[in-house]
Amino acid sequence: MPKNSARAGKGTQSSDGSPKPAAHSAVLVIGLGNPFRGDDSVGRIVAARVRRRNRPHLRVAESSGEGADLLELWADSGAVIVVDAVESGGKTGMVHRFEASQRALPVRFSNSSTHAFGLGEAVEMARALNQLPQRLIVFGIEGRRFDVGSKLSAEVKKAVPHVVECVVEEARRLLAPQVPGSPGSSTSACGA
Amino acid sequence: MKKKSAKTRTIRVDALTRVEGEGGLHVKIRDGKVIDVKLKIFEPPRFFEALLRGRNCEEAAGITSRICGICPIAYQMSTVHAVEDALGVRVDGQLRALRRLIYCGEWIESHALHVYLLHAPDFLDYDDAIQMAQEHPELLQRGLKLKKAGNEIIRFLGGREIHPINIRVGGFYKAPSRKSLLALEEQLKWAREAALETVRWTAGLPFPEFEQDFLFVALRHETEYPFNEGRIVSNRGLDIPVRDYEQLFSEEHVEHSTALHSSLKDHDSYFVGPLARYNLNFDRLSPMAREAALAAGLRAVCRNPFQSIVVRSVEILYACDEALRIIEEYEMPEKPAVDFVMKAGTGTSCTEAPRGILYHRFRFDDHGAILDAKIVPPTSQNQKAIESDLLQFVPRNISLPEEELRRRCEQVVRNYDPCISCSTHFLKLHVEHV
Repeated sequence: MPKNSARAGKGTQSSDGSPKPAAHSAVLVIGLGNPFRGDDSVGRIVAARVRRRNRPHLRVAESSGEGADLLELWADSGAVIVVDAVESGGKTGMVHRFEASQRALPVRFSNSSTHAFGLGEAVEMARALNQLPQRLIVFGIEGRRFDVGSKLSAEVKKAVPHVVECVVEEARRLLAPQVPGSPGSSTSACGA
Repeated sequence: MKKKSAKTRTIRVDALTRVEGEGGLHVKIRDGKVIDVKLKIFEPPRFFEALLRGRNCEEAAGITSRICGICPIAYQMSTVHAVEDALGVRVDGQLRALRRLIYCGEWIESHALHVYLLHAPDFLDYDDAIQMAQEHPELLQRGLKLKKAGNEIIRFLGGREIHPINIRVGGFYKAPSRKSLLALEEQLKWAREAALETVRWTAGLPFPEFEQDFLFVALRHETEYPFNEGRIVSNRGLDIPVRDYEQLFSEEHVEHSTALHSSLKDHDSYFVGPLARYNLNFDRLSPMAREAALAAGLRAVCRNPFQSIVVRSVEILYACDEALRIIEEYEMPEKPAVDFVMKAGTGTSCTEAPRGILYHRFRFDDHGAILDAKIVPPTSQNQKAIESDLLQFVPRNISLPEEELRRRCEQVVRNYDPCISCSTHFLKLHVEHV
């Protein structure tokens, strides 16, 4: 599994490309965003750092955030963590945690994507088609700079190590069946 | 809903949804007459042409493909063909066929996304594809699976689905073996059947009467339905080689858009994309696609932009059929790319992106360093046609309740599957009654 994850990594936009087994017991971490649009790249940066931890129970993928791509990526996974930049008017660098398998993402969060069919739509489409992973956690990092060619803002950059820890901790809890993850959404300490 | 007491009305859509990128629409109505229509594109300009200067022409395809996540193949194809034109390189045989094959993949995935997820909800009166999925899950499942079949071709030949990495000047970095390519066959056979079903299904959607006297512009090739090659032709006698494009087509800046508006000499607006391609190349479709179109009630010429959803479906069918033909006839070439010697030059190219003709011109020095570049995407060429459609559409539907009129205006825009990210350069609808 970790070898596949490494292959998925190498700057790819998408899945690990190997034939998918029927289902994965590992947690799938998906970093979303456009690497060339400032804070929008933070999801992918977090995913890359999680990949470097090389944990056998973690598969890591990166995606531009195009909805149909996401539906395909998480099709065979029971537990998924998505990391994406958001723009909700909150303080830059603030980390939001949503249990998307329980409820819809707030609409305003999908605005930082220029995709006609993005993360928010993919979650609801999967729900309508009964294809939603059993557990789908979304970490949203509040960004402020999304223009092409811009760099990560200092506040978002500072939030990265914290989000990496949140993801690893979340995965650990998702893998421990007897310890239920905290449902609902939270904006403090990743809801941990 | 506001009534006619005020003489002037404005319909505004601040942020158009179900289009790629950021834009809006502003329609101003006075005394029941539309006095102004603006397709506002405010996605910031991206300066790709300037960014290319100084970069080597061999790495240009890796840069231009970043212009769009939905149609990266179109950019890569126009780019490598422009460079090859300058170098006098001709890519033929199986390598040329493979380039058609990867383009088939892009048409399938891009058209399936638009037909099922972006455009169909307009016809069935749903707010979006998610609402539609709740009542018609089987339709959305089919659409998504069809899109996946297109992505599979791109992933297989391109190395990955988005911003593929296997295309280069002269051909490919690696050509597949016949055996490995055959692995795509089964999924494509399913896709061809699903595409046929898609044509039948879309043909039964409700279409408003809206025939327009468009100036259609597309590529035309001697024997093929066009992807990478052909002359630029119109339904009014235009027939020029690609290198003459800039003599007749020009771009201008308008205040309300960060995407340049294109025009054809002596004409106001022109129309590129599936409808134009179909009308100018009906006889080049495969027999299966042609028969399906006729059985669906289309004729050899379709002038109703609302029926573009049917034409797009016919093109999905054609792309599946063509992909299967290429795979069947494929033999692994000796080399994955044609050799070439770098030299200074200027080259042009035009290929048929899912949304219409995509023109490129590059000039580079002896070392291949790009001196200047010009890129004209399809959506920027269609901006005037979209505005012109709205100018015709709104007066005929002026009695519709405000919300309904706004929805229908958005549908008019979506007939063109605009990719605002590509043309700059996003979309939001304002209708103002002044």
